[in-house]
Amino acid sequence: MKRFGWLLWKDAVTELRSFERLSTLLLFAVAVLVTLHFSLPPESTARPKVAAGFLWAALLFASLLELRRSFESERRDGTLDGLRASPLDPSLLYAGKVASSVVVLGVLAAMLVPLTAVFFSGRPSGIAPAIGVALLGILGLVAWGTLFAAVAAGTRGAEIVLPVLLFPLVVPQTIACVRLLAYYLAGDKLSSLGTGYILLGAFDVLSLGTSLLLFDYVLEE
Amino acid sequence: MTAVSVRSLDRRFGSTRVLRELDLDVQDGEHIAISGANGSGKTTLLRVLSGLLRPTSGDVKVLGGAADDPDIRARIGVVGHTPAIYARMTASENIRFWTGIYGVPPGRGHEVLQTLGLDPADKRPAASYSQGMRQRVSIAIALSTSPTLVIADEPFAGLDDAGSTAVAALLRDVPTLVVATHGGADGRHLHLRDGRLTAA
Repeated sequence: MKRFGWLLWKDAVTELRSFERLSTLLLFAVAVLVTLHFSLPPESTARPKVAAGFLWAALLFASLLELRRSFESERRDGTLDGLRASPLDPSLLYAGKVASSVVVLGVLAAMLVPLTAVFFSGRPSGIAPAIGVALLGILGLVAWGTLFAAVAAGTRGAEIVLPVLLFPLVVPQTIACVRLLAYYLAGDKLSSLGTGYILLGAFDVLSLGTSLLLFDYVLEE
Repeated sequence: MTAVSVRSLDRRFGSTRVLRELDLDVQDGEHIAISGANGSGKTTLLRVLSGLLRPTSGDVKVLGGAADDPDIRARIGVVGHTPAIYARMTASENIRFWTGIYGVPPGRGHEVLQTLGLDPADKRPAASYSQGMRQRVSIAIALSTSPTLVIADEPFAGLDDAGSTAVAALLRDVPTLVVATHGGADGRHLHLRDGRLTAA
C-alpha cells in the first residue's frame, strides 16, 4: 500500500506543479462540446436528446488523450524502465495509473456535466447522478485504456493503436453510460435503471480484473 | 557466490541477433567493465541483467535468482541509459519517490546527491537540470538503496571531470558492479563484439 501511495503522490506532485493534464483535457473537452453545441441551430429542440451522447463523446476523446499521456511520458523519460526494474509489483503500477487517470478524468467530468446541462439540457437536478454515472463509465474506460495504453506506448502509430484496441471493447459500456446519462440529463425514459447500473458495474469489474491479470505480460519485452 | 551467472544468452530483435550464446560470470565483490562499439549490444546485455528484457534463449541468474524477482530487484541498483527522473520533481523529491518505492529511507540518497555536488534543498525541478546533473541524480537514486549489485549503463555520460571522479569513487565502494562504459571504470575489463564477451 505504501508503494501505491508513493505512485499517487508522484502524480499529485507533478500535476499540482503545472495542472497541465487537467487544463489540457478541459480545454479539449470544452472545445468539443462548444463545437457540437454550435452544430445545432439555436432553436433546435434536439439539444436535450443529444446532451448525453455529446458529453460522453467529449469524455471519451479526452480519455484517449489522458491514457496516451500516462505511458508516453514515462517511456520517453526513462521512468517506466526505472519502475519495471524496481521491486514494484506491476499490478500496483497498473492500479496507480488507473487511480491517477480516474481522478483527473473524474474532476473533468465534474466540470463537464454541469456545462453540458447548461449548453444542452437545462436539467440541473440530473447533474449529481450524471456525474456518478460518468465516473462509473470512466472507471471501465480507464481500466481497459490503461492496459492498451501500455501496449500502444512502445509501438509506432500509437495514436491509432490505442483507439483501435479500445473502442470495440467499450461499446457495451458506452451504450449503458449514454442511456443513463440521457435519463438524468434529458429525462429520457429508461426501461430499467437498475439494468444500466448493473451493466456498468459488471463491465468495470470485468475490465479491471482482466487488465490487472494481463498487465504484467504487456510490460514484458 | 556468483552474483551474475549467464549461460548461452541469446537475444534477438526480429531477425537481428544482438547477443549470441553469451556467457558471463561475475563473482560477489567483483567489478566488471564492459566496453564495445556503439550498437554492439552493451545496453541490451545490461537490460537483460536488470530484468528489463527477457532472453530469447539461455539462462540468466542474478544474485542467485531470476532478475525479475522483486526480492532480487530490491537489492539491485540500476543506472539506465536514460536517467529515470521525473522532470517536474526536484532532485530530493525524486530521491524520496524512488526510495519510497524501494522501501528504504531517503537519507543515503541525499548524502550521495551532496557527494555529487548537488543540493538536496534545491527547489528547481529536474527539467531545468543539465544532462550531467540529471545523470548525477540518476546515480544518487541507484545508490540510495545501498544495493548489493549495481548495473550501470554509461554512468559517466554527460559528466564533467569532477563529476566523473566523484562517480568513479562512489562506484568503487559498490559491492558488485557491472558497468558498460567507454572508459573510466576500474575492475576486470571485457569487450563485447559480435554478440559475445571476450577479455579486453
